[in-house]
Amino acid sequence: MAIGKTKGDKIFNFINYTLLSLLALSFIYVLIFVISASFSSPTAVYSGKVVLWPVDVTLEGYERVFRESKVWIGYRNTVFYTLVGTLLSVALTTTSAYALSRKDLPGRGVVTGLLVFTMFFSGGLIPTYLIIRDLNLLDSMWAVILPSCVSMSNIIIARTFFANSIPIDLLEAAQLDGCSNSRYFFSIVLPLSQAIIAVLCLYYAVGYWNQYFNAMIYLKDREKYTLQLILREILIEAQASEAMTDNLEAAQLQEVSEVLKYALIIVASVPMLIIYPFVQKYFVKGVMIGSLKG
Amino acid sequence: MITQTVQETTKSPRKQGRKRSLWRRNAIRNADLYLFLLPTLIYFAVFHYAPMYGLQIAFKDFKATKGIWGSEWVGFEHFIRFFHSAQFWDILLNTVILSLESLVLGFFPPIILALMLNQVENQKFKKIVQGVTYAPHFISTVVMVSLLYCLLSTRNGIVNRIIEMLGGTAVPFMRDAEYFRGTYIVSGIWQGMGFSAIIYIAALAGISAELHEAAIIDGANKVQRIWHIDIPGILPTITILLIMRSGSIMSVGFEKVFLMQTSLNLKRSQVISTYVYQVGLVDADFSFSAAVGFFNSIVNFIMIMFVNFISGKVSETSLW
Amino acid sequence: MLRKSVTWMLVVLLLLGTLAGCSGGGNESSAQSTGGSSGTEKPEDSAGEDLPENLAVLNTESDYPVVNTPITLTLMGSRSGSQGEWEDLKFFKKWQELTGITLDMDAVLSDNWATQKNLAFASNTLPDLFYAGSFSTAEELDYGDDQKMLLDISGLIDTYCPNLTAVLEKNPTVRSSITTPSGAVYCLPYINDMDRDLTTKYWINATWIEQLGMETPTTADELYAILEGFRDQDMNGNGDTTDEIPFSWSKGIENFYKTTSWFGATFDTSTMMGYEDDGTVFYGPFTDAFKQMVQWFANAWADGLLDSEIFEQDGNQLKAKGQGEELILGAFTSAGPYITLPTEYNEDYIAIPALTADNGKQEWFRTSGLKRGTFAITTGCQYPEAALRMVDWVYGKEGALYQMRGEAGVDFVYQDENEETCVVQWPEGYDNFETYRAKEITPNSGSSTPGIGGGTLPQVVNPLNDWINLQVETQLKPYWKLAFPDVYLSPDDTEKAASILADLKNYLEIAVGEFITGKRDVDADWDSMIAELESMGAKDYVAIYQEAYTSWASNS
Repeated sequence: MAIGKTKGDKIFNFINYTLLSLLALSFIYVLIFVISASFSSPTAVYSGKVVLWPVDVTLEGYERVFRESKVWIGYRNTVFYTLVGTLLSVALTTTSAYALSRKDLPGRGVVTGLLVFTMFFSGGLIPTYLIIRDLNLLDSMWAVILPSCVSMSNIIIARTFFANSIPIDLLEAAQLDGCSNSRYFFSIVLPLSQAIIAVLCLYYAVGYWNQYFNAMIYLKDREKYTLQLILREILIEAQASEAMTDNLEAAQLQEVSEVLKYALIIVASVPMLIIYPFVQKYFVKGVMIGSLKG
Repeated sequence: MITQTVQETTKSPRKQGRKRSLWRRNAIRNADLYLFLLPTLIYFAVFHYAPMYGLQIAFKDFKATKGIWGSEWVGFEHFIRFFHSAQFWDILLNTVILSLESLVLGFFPPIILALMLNQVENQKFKKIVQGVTYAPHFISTVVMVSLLYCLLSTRNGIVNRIIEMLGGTAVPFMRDAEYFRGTYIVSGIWQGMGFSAIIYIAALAGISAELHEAAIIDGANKVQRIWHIDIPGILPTITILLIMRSGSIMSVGFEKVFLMQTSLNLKRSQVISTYVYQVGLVDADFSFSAAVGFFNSIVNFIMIMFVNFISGKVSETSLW
Repeated sequence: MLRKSVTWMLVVLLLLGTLAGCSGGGNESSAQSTGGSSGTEKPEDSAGEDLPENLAVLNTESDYPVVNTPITLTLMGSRSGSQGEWEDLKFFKKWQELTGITLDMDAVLSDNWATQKNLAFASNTLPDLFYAGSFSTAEELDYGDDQKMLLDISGLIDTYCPNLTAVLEKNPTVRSSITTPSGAVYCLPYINDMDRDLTTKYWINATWIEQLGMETPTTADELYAILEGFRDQDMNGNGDTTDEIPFSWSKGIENFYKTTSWFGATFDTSTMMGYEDDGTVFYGPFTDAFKQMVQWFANAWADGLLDSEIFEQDGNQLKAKGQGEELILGAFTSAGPYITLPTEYNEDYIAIPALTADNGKQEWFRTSGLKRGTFAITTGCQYPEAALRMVDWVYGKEGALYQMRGEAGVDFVYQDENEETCVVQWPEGYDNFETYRAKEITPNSGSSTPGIGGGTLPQVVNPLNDWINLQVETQLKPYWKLAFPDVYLSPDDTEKAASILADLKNYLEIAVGEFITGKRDVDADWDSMIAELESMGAKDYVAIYQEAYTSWASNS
C-alpha cells in the first residue's frame, strides 16, 4: 500500500486532518461541558460560570442517581434486554434481509412492499396492547423485546449491503458446487458481512438500551423496568411541574431533579460509549474477499 | 443462470410461460430462503398486521366501551376538523419546510464525514474522531435543548460570547422566529452526524480493497479514488437511505420542537405534532390524533413511493 | 344403593346451588338499586343479616374500621416520579389499616397515565377505584354520562361521606362544580384552600423602591416609574448601573396575560374566559384592559424594562440570575422570593399589590383551587359505599392532615396546645420535607389526590413561607376575583372549544409576542388582530362558555 504519496494527496491529507480536528474539537468541547456540568451546581451551569471545567464541584447528582436502588436493577435488566434482544433482532434481520436480497427469490417484491407498508401504517397503541395481552405477554420481559424487535429500515439497510457487497459470482460458484442456500449464507455471506452485522448489532443494541416505551406501556412490575424508564421516573418531575409556578411545594421538588439532569445522561450512556470501539473493529476494509475468491 | 433470470424482461407469451416455470423452479430451489423469511413474516403478521384494524379509529368516534369495531363511523369528520383549523396551512408548511430543510441539509454531512474518515490513515486519530462524533447521539432531547439554552444564551452563552469577541452582536438563537429553524437543524445535524455516518463507514469497509489497489497502481490520487471508487461504492446505500428519509417528510419529532418553543418563534415552531398535543391536551382524543397520524402516514407513503419510483428509473436502486 | 344416594345427593346439591344462585342474583340487583336511587336511606343496624353484601360488610357501630369483613378493592392512580412505591407509603398503610379495606394498587407513572387510563377503559380491565386519577371533565361526561363506566355517586355522598358533605356545605360552589349538567357526580375533587397556592405572585424589591424614594405602586403607571428607576439607578450598589434587570420571569405567555388584572379585566389565562357580575362571560383579549396591558409591556420592552430573555429562559436560568453574586432582579414572578433568590433576600420582596385600573377596578385574579376528577368509582365496583366511606377520611381534618404531612409527633410536631401550628421534620438524606414526604409518606406531593388542602389545617411554622402568606393575605386577597368558575362543557362542545381554542391561543400568542417586541404596532394593528380572532370562531367559543356558565350559575 505504501506507494509514494502525490502532492495532491498531501494537500488533501492536510485539509482532511485539519477539518476533522476542528470538528472533533467542537464535539469534545460540548462533551466536556456535559461532564463538567454533571459535577457542578445547577446555578453555576445556568449562570454561564461553567465554561469548560466544573464550578462549585459537587457529586450530588451522582450520589442521588446511585442512591436510587432501582438504578442497579434497571442496569441489570437493560443489559439482559439488550443482549437477548439484539441477538434475536440481528438473527431475524440478517436472515430475512438476505432472502430479500436474492433477486431470484420469487415474491420478494410483494413481501418487501408489505413490510415497507408497516413502516408507515400501524394500528396504534390500543390493538397492539390487546394483542400483547392476548398473547399473555403483559408484564413479561418479552413485552419489552418483541413489539419492536425487527425494524424494516434495518432489513432494507442489510439487504442493500448483501445485494451490493457480496459478489454475485461467489453465489454462482457455490451453486455449481451444489452448495445449499443456507450453507452458503452461513459459511460465506455472514463471514463477509461483519461490517454490516456490526452496524446492525450497534443499531439494535442502542435501540434496546434506550428502550423505555414498551416497558412503560406493558410492564407493571418495577423489578423488570429498563434503565431508561427508571431514569425517566427520576427526571420526569423537572418537566411535569414546570407549569406549576404558583405552588411552593412543586417548585421545591423541581429544584431537586435539576441537580440530576446531567449526571443521568452520563450514567445512562457510558456503557454504550464503551462498546463502540469493539464495534469499530469490524469496520476494517476489504475483508478477505480476495482470498475467498482465490 | 441467475443473471439470466434477472435479465428476463421481454413480454412475449412464450417467454411469459417460460418465465412462470422459471418462477416455480426458483421458488422450489430457493425453498430454504422462504424458511429464512418465515420468522420475520410471522413477527410482522402478529405485531404489525394483526393490530392493523386499529386504523379505522381515525374514521370512527372511538368509545372505549364499544371497542374499536363497535364504535360509530364518522367518516372524515376528524380529518375535516384538522383541515379546517385556522392554523392548518401554517403548521403544514412549518412541518414540511422544517423536515425538508433537515433532510436536505442533514443528509450529506454524515456521508462527507464517513468519506473523510475513510481516508484517515492514523488509526488512533480515526477512532477518536469517530468516537466523539458518535457520542452526542446519546444526549437525550431534554438535555440537548437544555444545552442549547446554556450555550446559546444571549446573556452568557459561550457561542454569543465568541460572536461578541469577534465584534458581532449577540444573536437571539433561542428566541426569534427567524433563527428557530437554523438552530433546530444545525443542532440536529451536530447530534446525529456521527451516528448516521456509521452505516456509510460500514459500507465503505465493504468496498473491495482490490479496487483501491488497482487504482493506486494506476496513479489515482485520493480525491480521484473517492470520486471514482468510494462514492460509487456506497451509492446504493446512499440512495436507499435517501429514499427512506423521504418517507419521513411529515414526521417532525415532538419533543425537541416543543421544548424549543417560545412565544416569539411559535410562528415557525408550531408543527403538526405540537398542534395535536395542544388540541389533545384538553381531552385525550384517540380518534383525532389517529386521523392526523393517518394523514401524515399517507403523505409519507406517497412521498416514499414517488421517490422510490424516480430512483428506480434513474439509478436502478429502489426499495423493491 | 350407593349409586342412588349419590344421585340424590347431587340433586339436593344442585337445588341448593340454584337457590344460592338466585339469592345471589337478588343481592346483586338490590345492590344496584342501592347504588342508584335508594342509597340515601341509612341501613338499619338490626337488619345486618338481610343486607346485600355491599352493605353487610359495613361497620355501622363506629366510623372505623369502615368494614367488619375485610374486603379488597383494586385501585389505579397516577404516580409522579418523585414518589416512593405506593405500597410503601405511610399514608396508604395507615389508610388500609384504619378502614380495614385492602387496596390492590396499580400506580402508573404520571406521563404514562393518560395512555394507561385509556387502555384500562379500552381493554375493559377497570379497577374499582381511580385515586389521583385526573379525569378531565370531558372524560367524566364520556365515561360517566355516556358510557356508564363510572358510578354516579350523587345519591350516596350525603349518607356515606359526612366530612365531604360538611365541606360541600361550606363551599356551595364546589358542589355545583362537580355536578354534571345531567345532575350526576362521577368524580370527587381536591379542594385546595391554601391561599398562597391560588394565585400568581409578582414580587418586587421593596427596599429598592424605598431607595428610590418612591412608594409601593398603586397603578400600572407608578409601577412603570419604579421599574424605570431600577433600570437607571445602581440599585445593588456595585457601581454598575446597567446590571439590574427591572422585570423578569421564566418563559410563558400567561405571565403577561395574568397581569391584565392591573388594567381592569380578570379572566382565566388558559381558557381566556372571564365573567362579569351580571352573568355575562367575555373573552379576555377583546377587553380594553388587554390592549392596555399589551401596550404597557410593549413600552416596557422598548424602554428596556423587561429581561431580554423573558421570552425564552426557563426557571433554572431565572434562578441562576437570582442566585448570582449580585442581586440583580428588581421584580419577577415565582412561587416565592426564596425559590428564586438566596433566602436572606426573602423579606426584601413584596407582592406587587392589586393595582387600580383606569376603569376604576382594583382586582387580582385567583383560581378556584379546585382540582376535579381526582377520585372515581367504577360501575363494576362491588362496594361503592365502603369506598366512599374510605375516601371520606381525606376530606376530614385527620385524614387530610395525614395525607398531607404524615404522622403527628413523628413527621410533624405541634407547637402549641391548641394544635394550630406545627413544624415538619424529616430524616437525614432528604433536602427538604417535600422530597421526604414524596418518597415516604404520601402521593399528595406531585399527584392530584382527592381531599382538602392545608387552609384549615394546622399551619406549618416557616418564616420564609409566613412572609409569602402575609403578602398574599394583605396585598392580594382583599382584591381577589375568581378568574372563571369550574364549569362543564358537553362532549361536543369540549371538542369544538378545544379546536377553536388551539387556533385562538396560537394566533394570539404570536400576535402578542410581536406587539410587545415591537414587530407590530399596537395602535395600527390591534383591530386587525381582533378581526382575525373573530374569524377563527372566537364568538362561537364565547357562546359555548356562556351556556356552560349559565348552567353552572343556575346550579349553585
